[in-house]
Amino acid sequence: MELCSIGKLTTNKMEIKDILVIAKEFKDNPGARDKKDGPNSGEEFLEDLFIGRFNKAINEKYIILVDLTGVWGYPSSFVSGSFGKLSMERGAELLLSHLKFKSDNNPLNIDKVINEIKNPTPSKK
Amino acid sequence: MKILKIIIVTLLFFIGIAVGFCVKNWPIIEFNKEIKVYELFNLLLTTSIGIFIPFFIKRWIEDNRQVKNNLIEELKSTLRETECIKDKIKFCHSRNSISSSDKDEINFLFEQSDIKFHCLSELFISTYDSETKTIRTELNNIYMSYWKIVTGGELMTTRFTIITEDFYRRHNESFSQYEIKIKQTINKVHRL
Repeated sequence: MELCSIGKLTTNKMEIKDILVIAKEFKDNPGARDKKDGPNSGEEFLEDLFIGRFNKAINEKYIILVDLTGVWGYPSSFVSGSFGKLSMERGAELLLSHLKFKSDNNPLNIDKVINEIKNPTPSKK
Repeated sequence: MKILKIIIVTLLFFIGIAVGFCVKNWPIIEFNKEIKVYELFNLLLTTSIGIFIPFFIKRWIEDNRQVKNNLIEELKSTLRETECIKDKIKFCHSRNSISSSDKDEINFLFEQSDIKFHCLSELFISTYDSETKTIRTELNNIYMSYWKIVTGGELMTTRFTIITEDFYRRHNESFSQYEIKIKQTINKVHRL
């Protein structure tokens, strides 16, 4: 791992070693927030696919490129149940340092996910 | 710019001919020695201003108006794209049922609306970047808020099979805030 220092700011310069294409590896029609709310939920994505890959990226110090392309549309509940929930548990800074996002057809999807990571929506119990 | 270049080249060509003609037939033009140099410059300057300033100013005003018209047209078509979501929800509400394919369609309509919204933001950046920073942030916040209200709650759950009055009311309030913001932005663009 290479350290990059600019003035007072010191960041870990990591490489992208994993690419997660949501439309191919999960579903192209994401659903609700929690598993109990229906299929293709954010929680399902987080627990069954994403968390393992994310933990590996932290342990081995690399970045995952999350490809948001090819999905019919991201409901806010899905984004909140996956990226938002993880951000509440592990912190936005950790997520943003280990994740990069790509969305070829709709760049606004990247803003939606990053905004949710920075300001996660709490679950309504 | 192409027209301007053609005009300049044509003018230079005729000036060249005139100068050549004058030099060849010198002193066909005899200057009145009583005329002062600054008076001659004054005449030339006034003629230039009379010809070129209206041309450039008119062109500058027309260009600005065209850019603003494009922005306004883009704002209107962005609103129309988002209205498709509202229409779909209205339809499901009047039908008194919403299926999972309807929900997928709503997500897809948001995807289409996002693309249009992004296009609008890019157009603002390429034309009035610094002047529209606040406008863009406000529009973005309201649009994101609308997306969260529609797709962030009970809509995506399998239990949600009819558009409830509460959901419909919250949706309409959020959409109308978005619509108002777009219309306010149109007015602001006129005054830019």
